[in-house]
Amino acid sequence: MQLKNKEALLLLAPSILILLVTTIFPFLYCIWVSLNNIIIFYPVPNTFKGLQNYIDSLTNPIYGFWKSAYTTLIFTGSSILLEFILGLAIALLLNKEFKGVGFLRSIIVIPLLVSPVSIGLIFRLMFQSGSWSLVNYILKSIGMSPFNWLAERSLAMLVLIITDTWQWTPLMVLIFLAGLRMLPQEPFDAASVDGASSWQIFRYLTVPMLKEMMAIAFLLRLMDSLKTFDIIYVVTLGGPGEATQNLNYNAFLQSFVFGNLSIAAAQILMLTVVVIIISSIILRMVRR
Amino acid sequence: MGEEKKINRRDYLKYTGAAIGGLVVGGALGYLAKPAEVVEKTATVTAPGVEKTVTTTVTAPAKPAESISVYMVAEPAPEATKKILDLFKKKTGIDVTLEVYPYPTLQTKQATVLSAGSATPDVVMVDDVWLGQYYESGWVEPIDDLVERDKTEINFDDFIPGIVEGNMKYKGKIIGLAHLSAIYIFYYREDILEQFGYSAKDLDTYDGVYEVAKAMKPDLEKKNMYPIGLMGARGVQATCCYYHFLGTFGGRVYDPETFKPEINSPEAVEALEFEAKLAKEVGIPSIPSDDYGELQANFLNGRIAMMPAWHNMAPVLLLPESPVKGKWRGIPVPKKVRRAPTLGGWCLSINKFSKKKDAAWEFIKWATSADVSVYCAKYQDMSRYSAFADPSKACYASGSTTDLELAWPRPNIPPWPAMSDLIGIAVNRVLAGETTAKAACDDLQAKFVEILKSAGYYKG
Repeated sequence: MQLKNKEALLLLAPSILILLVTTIFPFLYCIWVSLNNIIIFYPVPNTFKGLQNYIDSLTNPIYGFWKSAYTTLIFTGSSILLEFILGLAIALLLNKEFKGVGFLRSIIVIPLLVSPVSIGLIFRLMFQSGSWSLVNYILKSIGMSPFNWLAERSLAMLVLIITDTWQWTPLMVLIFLAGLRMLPQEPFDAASVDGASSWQIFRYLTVPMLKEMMAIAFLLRLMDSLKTFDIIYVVTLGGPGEATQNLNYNAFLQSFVFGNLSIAAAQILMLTVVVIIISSIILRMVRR
Repeated sequence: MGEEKKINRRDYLKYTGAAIGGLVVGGALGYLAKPAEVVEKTATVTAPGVEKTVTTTVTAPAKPAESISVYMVAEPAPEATKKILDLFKKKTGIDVTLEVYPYPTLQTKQATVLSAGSATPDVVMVDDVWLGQYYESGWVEPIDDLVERDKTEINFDDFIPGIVEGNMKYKGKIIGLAHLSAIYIFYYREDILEQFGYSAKDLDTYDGVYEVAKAMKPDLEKKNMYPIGLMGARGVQATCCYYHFLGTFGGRVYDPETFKPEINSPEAVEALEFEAKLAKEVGIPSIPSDDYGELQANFLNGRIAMMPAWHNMAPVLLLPESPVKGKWRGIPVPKKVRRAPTLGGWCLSINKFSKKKDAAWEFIKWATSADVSVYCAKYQDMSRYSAFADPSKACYASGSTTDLELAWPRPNIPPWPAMSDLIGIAVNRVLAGETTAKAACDDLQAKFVEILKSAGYYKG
């Protein structure tokens, strides 16, 4: 028996090595960086700071932690909620059989195939205030006044939410659709025979049976959305002011503009802990 | 059924070792199999009464061509340099892999590889505001000795002095040789101003600019036009635009002797208030979200009549298909206390960790030479007087060397990029109407005191 375990370990060794190199070691190094004082743009000697970087991030407004945490909450919460609702609605629609549903199922994934940078550029142009702004053109043609989309805090955030929702709703659709296709048909037939309404079927059958898929979809998007950087960088650069500067973008600035790798590492690790806690809570709720 | 075949540790190690050994042998064979260079040698053989020339063939080991890697910013002049790299190879035999990146990506990329001590790229392109960062981080070294050694070849006096000080030197040391430069000028629609009875002389001061803009505004708005455009989107361009006003109104970021921040001085506040006044009263409404591309497009598409902006916007405005071709002019920036055109520009430096510093230096000398500068001047401002000697060969010449000599360089100390980002945020917030100029400047002052103290510059 011991020999078999050793064989298994030997065969798994390459995968473990890759995991160590690409995931475990960088994570441990990130923790080490967050406990020290590493600044890349001027010759400050490295000293061990312990948890001071974490305390500084939480207490010193110059590091922008709480502002960007609030922005992250607004952006992530709104995007995921919209994507969840739209994704489920579209998946329910695509789960039915009607003419053209196959074509719709195939084109729904197109946004997922386009790079976030390209999408960001397109939406930036669409919502720009200039004469090439598609959205303002449409608004003007229906008699409404144009908006300064990227120059006002709430509107800039709305543009980002729309951009993110446009790109990632199809992922939710795919996950929910896969879940719906796997559901047994008998309970639904029985419910129909018993006279249950569509809403009752959805509320008491579809949702409970899709619970685990919903949790997976939510967690996947949560982890991704918290890391959003590309569309913020391309569409708003974190502006106007700091209105759309989320934690990830803030960490990028701390690293590559302020040169303070330790503060950036501390902030990212705090975000990681939050994600782990939320994921654990959701998985426990689902298992119950 | 036969016994299940198990792989034991010895076999596993045997097969793995065989695979690795095979790779090593194969690689060695591949290297040795490279065709050797065949050289013809001619020798004269003499014997009594006989003189005979004999040609023999000698096989010499193949000598790999030297190659270097260069990073440059994605702007017209580097793109133009990329097109003539074969000339450098013909001259020196050195192969160059030239990669161009947009501004923020270049900084991220270079900072990442240089902080890791990578030998690639051999040549880096350093923005004037990064000189302190790169030098203090130990990524580049001074090249004063190389410049002195090759001074005849370089013709150092041909570099415009303002650019030497602003784009090439840090703490008195030469960090690199300047490639492209950029300066603020004032663009205006000559045809539109003429309609209202104005000319360039009315734009000599910013008070004059404001009065002209106010007078034109009602009629321009009927045509969906606005008097003025500015770069107000959060980012380095918002900082550059405000920095121009800061210098124009006699302000400065900090005292160069003591490094005491002065960003909330009356002059600094007045500069920001004036910029906000221009934006709010006579500016195109999109100013808070307009970056470089948007401002250029606004002028190109006839949406604005005037703008202070980088000289390197001119090539696009001069294209045959430009809707404003022949209708605009560029003049030195208006003054208030003084003229203060923001200076920008890039120098080429040797990566301290490069293993091919000689080849890197050869490339830098070539890329910043008078010949290449004259060639690139068709596309963008360069850094030598000779690039401006023939106006017909320059992309746009309207006293450009004068503007460059007036250059108002930005700080290049290591904390500057962080301070610049904070200025960009503050300016954007003021232009968006979220806060007042005084409050924004006071906030900046507090932050700059903290930054400069922790960086060891300000002792107060």
